[in-house]
Amino acid sequence: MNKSNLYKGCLEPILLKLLKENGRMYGYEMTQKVKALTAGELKITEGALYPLLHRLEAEGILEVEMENLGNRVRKYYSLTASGKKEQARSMIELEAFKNTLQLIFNPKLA
Amino acid sequence: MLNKEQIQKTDAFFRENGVAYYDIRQELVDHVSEILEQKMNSNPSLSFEAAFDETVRRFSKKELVLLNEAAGFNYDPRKEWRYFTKQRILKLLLLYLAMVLPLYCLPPRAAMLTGILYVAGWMVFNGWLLFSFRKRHPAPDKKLSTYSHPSLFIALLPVLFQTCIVGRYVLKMTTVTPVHPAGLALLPFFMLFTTAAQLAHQHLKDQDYQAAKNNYPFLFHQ
Repeated sequence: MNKSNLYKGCLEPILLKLLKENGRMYGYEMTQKVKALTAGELKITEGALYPLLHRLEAEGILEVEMENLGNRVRKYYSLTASGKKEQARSMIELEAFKNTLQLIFNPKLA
Repeated sequence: MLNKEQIQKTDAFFRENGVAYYDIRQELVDHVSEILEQKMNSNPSLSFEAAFDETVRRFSKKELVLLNEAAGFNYDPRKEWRYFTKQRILKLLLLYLAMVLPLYCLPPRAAMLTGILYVAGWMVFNGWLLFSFRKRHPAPDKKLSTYSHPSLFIALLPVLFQTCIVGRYVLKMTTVTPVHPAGLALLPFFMLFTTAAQLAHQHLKDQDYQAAKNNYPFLFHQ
């Protein structure tokens, strides 16, 4: 099984957690942060990252701020008030998911 | 820091490979520019062209087209419900009562004429809503996934469809005698319901338009 498929469903809680801890971040920064935290194990592609960020923005979970860098513009994302609630909820869901997997793969620890 | 020409070259690459929405393209340009700058900083002998070719190789056209499409499907219609505040719901209820009471109180013939008057007024109002919306939202020259300008034809279709239904209903009422006044109560309900839905839709689009204007001002002033 492709490893990236296993991570796919966790991308949203990962991004929300990053934003909770770092305040505001831009796309490239998020990919680099995840790469560094996982020692290169998890690499987020642009094709997965940006549609997700745009969806979260449309749902009101993220808000954006534009910054002019001279020749180009940078888009920063941060959590909205409802985004903070969503982040807390996603952590609970992720924890429950981990526990469920434990029941199957490591019943002694569960 | 990449210069203007290098940024333009990066932007052109994404534009030519299917990323039509300016907002998503702008993010990809920033993303790739960061990669390029890092590559060129860590290896000063590396030219921009070589770093560029190496970096953009990982983007397939298919992936970019999908990325562009995915960014365009983010309109969340559930947000339209936010339009219905307590105050607005109360106003709609009062308006409904003001419209339905004459239909009950007037003699059948006068009630029918009032119903026809309502339909005519409703059609004019809906048409005005659509045209005024377009007038106050001049489309940006380039497309944005956060705000796509609605096509008037697409927007008019539901209005035409609703008019056909209401028109048929009124026609039926005027030919069948006597008309039960309770049947007339549905008419203002349907008209108010569809108009409120249109207003809620426009309210959300207004907000999207303002946000897009704030985030990408130069696109609106070209």
